[in-house]
Amino acid sequence: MNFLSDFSGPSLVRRIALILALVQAIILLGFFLATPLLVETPDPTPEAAQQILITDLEREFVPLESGAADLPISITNRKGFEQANSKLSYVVQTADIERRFGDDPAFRSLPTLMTEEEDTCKSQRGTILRGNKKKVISFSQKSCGEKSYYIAVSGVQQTLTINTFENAVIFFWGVWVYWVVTAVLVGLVTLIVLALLFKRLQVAAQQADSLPPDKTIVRVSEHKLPVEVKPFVGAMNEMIGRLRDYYEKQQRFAAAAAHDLRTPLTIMRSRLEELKASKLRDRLIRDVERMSTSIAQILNLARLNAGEGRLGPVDLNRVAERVLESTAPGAFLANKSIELVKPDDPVVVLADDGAVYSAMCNLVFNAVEHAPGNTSIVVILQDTGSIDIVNSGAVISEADHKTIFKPYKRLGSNGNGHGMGLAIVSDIMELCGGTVTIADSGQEGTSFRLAFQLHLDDFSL
Amino acid sequence: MTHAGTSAVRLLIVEDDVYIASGLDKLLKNEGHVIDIVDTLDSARAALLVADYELILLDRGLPDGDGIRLFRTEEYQKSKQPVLILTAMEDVPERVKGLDAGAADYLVKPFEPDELLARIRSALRLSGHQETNLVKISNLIYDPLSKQASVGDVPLVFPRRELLILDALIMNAGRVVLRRNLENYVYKLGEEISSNSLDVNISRLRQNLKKGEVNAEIHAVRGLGYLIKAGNK
Repeated sequence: MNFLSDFSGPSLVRRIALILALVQAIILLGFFLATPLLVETPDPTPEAAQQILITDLEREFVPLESGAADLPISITNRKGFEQANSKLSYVVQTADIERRFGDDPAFRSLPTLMTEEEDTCKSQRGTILRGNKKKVISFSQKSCGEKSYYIAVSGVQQTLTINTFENAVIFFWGVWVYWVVTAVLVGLVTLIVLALLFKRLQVAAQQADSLPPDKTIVRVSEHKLPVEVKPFVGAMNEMIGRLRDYYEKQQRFAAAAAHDLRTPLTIMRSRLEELKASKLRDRLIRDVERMSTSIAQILNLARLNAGEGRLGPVDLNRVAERVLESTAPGAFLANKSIELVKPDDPVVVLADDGAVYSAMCNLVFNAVEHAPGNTSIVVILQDTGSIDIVNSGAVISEADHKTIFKPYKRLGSNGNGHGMGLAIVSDIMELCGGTVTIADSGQEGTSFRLAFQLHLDDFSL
Repeated sequence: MTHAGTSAVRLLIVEDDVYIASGLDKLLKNEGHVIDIVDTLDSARAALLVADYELILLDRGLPDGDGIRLFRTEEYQKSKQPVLILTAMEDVPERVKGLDAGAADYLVKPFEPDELLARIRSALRLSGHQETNLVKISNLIYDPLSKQASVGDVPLVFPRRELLILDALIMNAGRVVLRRNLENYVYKLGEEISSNSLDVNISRLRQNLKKGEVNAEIHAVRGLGYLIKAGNK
C-alpha cells in the first residue's frame, strides 16, 4: 500500500498557490495598466472641475457642462453626511436613456445598483447610499459624442459636492487597492482551506497505509473529509473492500489447499506403515516427504506474498538444525548421510523463519535426491549469513546456472526435475532480501548458496 | 520399525477425517494404547466428561470450529490433560497460537509415525507419566522403566553411559537427538568432558549393539546429533 503514501510528486497546494499568485498578478497588472485609460487622466487643474453644490433639494436637475461629460464624475457625501443624506437619490440622464437610482418614488422603478451598460455609451460605477454603510456615492461618465448629460438628485438634506474628477481618480485607485487586498485575502484563505483539506487527505492516506493486509483490514475513515474528496475515498474504500474479499478468498484457498493436500498425504503416510519394509516403501515415504516439502514452500511463499509475517531476526544456526533434524531421517532412508558444519554462536539474519525453513528444506531435499548413494550432503553455515548446501551429484552446467531458478525448469533427462521448487526458493529469498546462487565449485557435485543480510542490533554485541 | 507395549495409556483422538483417525488408531493400538476417537469438539467435551485420558491428540480444523477452542471449555479445564496438536496449519503464528492456548506440542501433517510416537512419549513423560510401555525397534526390545534392553529373551548389558545414550536415542526413535542434549543427559553437571568422549561412547555402543545382534543402527548427523533406526536386515 506504499503507493498511497507517495507524495514525492509536485505538491498540489504549492501548484495552486503559484497559479493563484500568477493569475492575481496578471489581473492586477492589467488593472494597473488599464487604470489611466479608464480614468482618462483628467486635467488636475481646479478650472477643469465642475463643482456643483446641492443644498436641500427636491429633484434638482443639474446639467453637466459638455466638457465635464468627458470626465469621471463623483458625488461625494462627506463624512458625517450619511445620516443627513440617507434619502439621497439621483438620476443620470443621457440624451435618450434615463437611469434612475435611489429611494425617491419617482426613481424607484429602476435598479438600485449601478452597473456598466454597454448599450449606452456611458460607464457608471458606484453604489447608492444606504444608511451609513457607504461614504462615497460615485459614478463615472465618458464622452458620448455630442449628447447632453445631466444628474438629477433628490433627498439631499445637506450640502453635497459633485466633483467631476478629483474623487473619481481616488475612486479608481481605491478600487485598485481594494482588488489587491481582496486578492491577497482570497489567496490566503484558499491556501489555508486547501492546506487543511490536504491535511485531511494525508490523514486518510496514513490510515490507508497502515491497513494491515489481513483479516483486521478496515476502511479509511470518511469522517470530516471534504465532500469533493469523499467520492474518491469512497471508491478507494470499495477497492479496499474488493481487495479484502480477494485476500480472504486467497487465504481461504491457501488454508483449504493446505488442508486438502496435507490430509491425503497424512493418510498415505500412515497407510505406508502397513506395508512391509521394502525399497519401494522407502521410496514412497520419500515421495510423501517431497510433496509435503513442496506444499510447505508454496504456502510460505503465498503467506509472504500476502504481506503476512514481517521480516525479523532469524537465527540461521537454529533453522539449519531444524532443517537437518527433519531431513536427516529421510536421507538415511535413501542411504545417504547428511552433516552440518556451523559456528557455535547464533548467526542472526533478517528473514522470515517459516519461509527460510521451507526454502532450506527444499534445497536439502533436492541435494539428497540428486546425490549418489552412500555419499554425504554437507550443509555449511557461515557467520557471514550464508548457507552452502553441497552434494556430490552431477555438476550443473554453467549455462543452466541462471535458468535453473525459473519456474518449471528441469535439468537433464532423468525426470527428477526441480519444477517449481527452485523458483519458489528464489522468490522466497528475494522477499527476504537475500539471494540464492549456484556456487561454481569447479569440481564434482553442486553447491547451492543462500545468502542473507545479517541482522545487526545493539543486543548482539 | 514397529513398537509394541504392554501397559495401556488411554488416549483421545479428536480428528474428523476418518482415514487419518483410523491410521492413528492402528499406530497407537499397536503401541498398546487404548484409543477413543471423536470427530467434533462437542463430542470431545462429552468424552472428557466420561473418561480420564492421559493425552489428547487434537486436530484443528474440526466441523464445529477450531480445535484450540477445546482448551477454553470447562470439561478441559477440569482435567487439563496434555494435548498434542496435529494439524495442517504450519505457520509460525499458528504454532504459537496453539502452544499459547496450552498445547504440549504441535505437529504438522503429514507427520512421521515415529516422530509422533516420540512426541507422545515425551509429552507423557513431561506430564509425570511413568513410561511403562516396552519400545521395540526391529528385534530390540527396551523397557524404559527398568532401562533394560533385550533381543528376544536375551538381556543386553551396557555400561552406564552407553545405556543412557541408548535410552535417549530409543525414547526419541526416528528423531535426531541433538548432540548437546545427549551430552546434558549423559554427563553430570560439571563433569569434565573431552570433545570426542561422546563419539567414543557411541562407537562402543554401536559395537555392543552389533555384538548383541541388534538389527538397529545409530546414524550420526555430523555437527548435529544422532538417531537410531531399524536396520535393513
